[in-house]
Amino acid sequence: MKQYFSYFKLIFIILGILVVLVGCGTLMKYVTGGRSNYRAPEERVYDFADVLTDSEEDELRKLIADRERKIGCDIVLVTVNMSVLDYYGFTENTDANWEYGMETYADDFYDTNNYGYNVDFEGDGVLLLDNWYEGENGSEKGSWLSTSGRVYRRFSSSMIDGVLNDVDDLVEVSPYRAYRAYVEDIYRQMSNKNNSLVSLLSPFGLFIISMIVAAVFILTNLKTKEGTKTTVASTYVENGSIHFNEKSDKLVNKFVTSRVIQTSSGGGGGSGHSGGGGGHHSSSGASHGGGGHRR
Amino acid sequence: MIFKCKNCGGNTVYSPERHTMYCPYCESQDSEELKTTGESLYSCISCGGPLEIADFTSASKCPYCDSYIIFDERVSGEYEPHLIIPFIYGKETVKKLLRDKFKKSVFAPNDFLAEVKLDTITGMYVPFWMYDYHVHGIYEGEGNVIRTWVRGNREYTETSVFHIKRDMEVDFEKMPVDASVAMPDSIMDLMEPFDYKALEEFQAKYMSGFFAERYNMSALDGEGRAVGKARADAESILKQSISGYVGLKSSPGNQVTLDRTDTNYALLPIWIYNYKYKNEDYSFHINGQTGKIVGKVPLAAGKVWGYGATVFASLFTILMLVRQLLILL
Repeated sequence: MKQYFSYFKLIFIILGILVVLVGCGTLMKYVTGGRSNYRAPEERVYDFADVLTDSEEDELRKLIADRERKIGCDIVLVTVNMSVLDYYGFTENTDANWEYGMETYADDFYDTNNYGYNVDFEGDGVLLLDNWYEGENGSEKGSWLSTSGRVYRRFSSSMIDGVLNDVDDLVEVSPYRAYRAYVEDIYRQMSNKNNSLVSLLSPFGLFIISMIVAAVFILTNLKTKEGTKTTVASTYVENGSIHFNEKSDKLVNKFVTSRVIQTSSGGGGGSGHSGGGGGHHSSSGASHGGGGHRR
Repeated sequence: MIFKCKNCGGNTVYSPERHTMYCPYCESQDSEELKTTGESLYSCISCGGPLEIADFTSASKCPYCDSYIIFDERVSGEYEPHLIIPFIYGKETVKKLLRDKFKKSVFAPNDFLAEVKLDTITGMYVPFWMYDYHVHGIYEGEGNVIRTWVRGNREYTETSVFHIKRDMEVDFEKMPVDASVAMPDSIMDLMEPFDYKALEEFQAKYMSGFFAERYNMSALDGEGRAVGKARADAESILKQSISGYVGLKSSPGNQVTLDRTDTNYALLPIWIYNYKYKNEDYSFHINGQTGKIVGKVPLAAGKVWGYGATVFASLFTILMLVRQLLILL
């Protein structure tokens, strides 16, 4: 047994450290609910545009609370009915001005309220700003998604577009359903099932990997060799006794053949995505990602 | 015969570590004197205890007084070795060599390298015939040299055919073949090479402290293996002199002829560790001059499954814990 424990000492130490780490992590999550930023307000649904009923707001709050706990990210919804162009002093209703206004408003709202599941600066979370302002100089209706922390790193521009498309599809018909779709989209993308690294480490995959490693370990150590031959042809040759009476290599024939080289062409490509879509810094200096759609 | 200490009368032995005769009782060196009176194959020259000596044993240890005895009639006359390589590695060094080599054999039984087991290692001088040969080898054949290059969209291949001829003479010196029926030939071949710089004229004192056998097959009986080795080596040297060819075709009639020029009878040092596991014998042979180890480690089935299961379970648990940690983070 002493030999056994001595051989596996390092593995058992790693195992012990991991058990302690996971144990502490689980305990912390159980005690604190996983949240480590307490400066953020409890409110998640700010219906300034008054497009939701009170019960719809409550339903959204419940849904957000549940999803937040599961993915460890703050999910905030802000609806407004105001001119962000006027708010930031723009006179022309251009896309660039609108985008600047929406982005700045959403980021500042997130930052000044200290949102972020883990920390109050660049913490994990997302905010949907939905503007219902019809306006006299043209509509400013549209939505903006501001991402931060893990959500920022996870969400690419196309993923942000995907969420906004889902909101666009429903928001004019049922704002409540559109905002539910927003919450569920965030949840789906941020949940473990869609975390690429965790999904790579599926229990079945880990089982197979462990089986293969154990099999290789056994096979490698099963191989025992009696001994290897360490003599060579010249081992017993008396020093300098090799003598060639004749050593000749005479060319007797030479011929040349040729063939046409067949050429082929081909190629391939790949695709993938990475997070960090729409990266920028807010006025408070925090890193955010984001994107918007006008309606 | 027996070597006794002039100072204390104890049995002096050859010490590989000290490279000299040594008395383990009074720790004096070079204090040996030869005692031959009263020698017999049936009783110990030192204590008179009865001995059971096998037919070919030329040196042994008395089971009563632990004295190392050399049987004169088996190391003299027609049985007198011409040459000997004294042990370079002592018992303790060999135990360390075994531990170092097999410490990573995880599936070996637990007591395989236990001190009590390793203490049973015995040093033995194994009889060898050493043959000298003058070899004449002739090789004739045909080989191709191929060169390729590309011009435009065509690849050109030039094949040059050569007629190859080699006529070689070589002398092999002291091609060893064990002269012991009890020693497995394949193991003795793997014990090679010995460093012949350490070959000495035979002296019986080197045998004190070890077991030994006299040759138990004649030089003629052992020569078949020596001829096979010399022929294979000569053919290999011939082939090494032919390089750079592809599609080598040998002509019929190539031949290697050997003439034996000398034969020597030598004793070469080998340590033997016999280990028994589950009614099966495992032998390890260690070259007493170079330390080369030959032997196959027994496998303990329980350890194979136990260690394998531990690797699997530990790795799976570690990976699952890492996964859980990623989820928590």
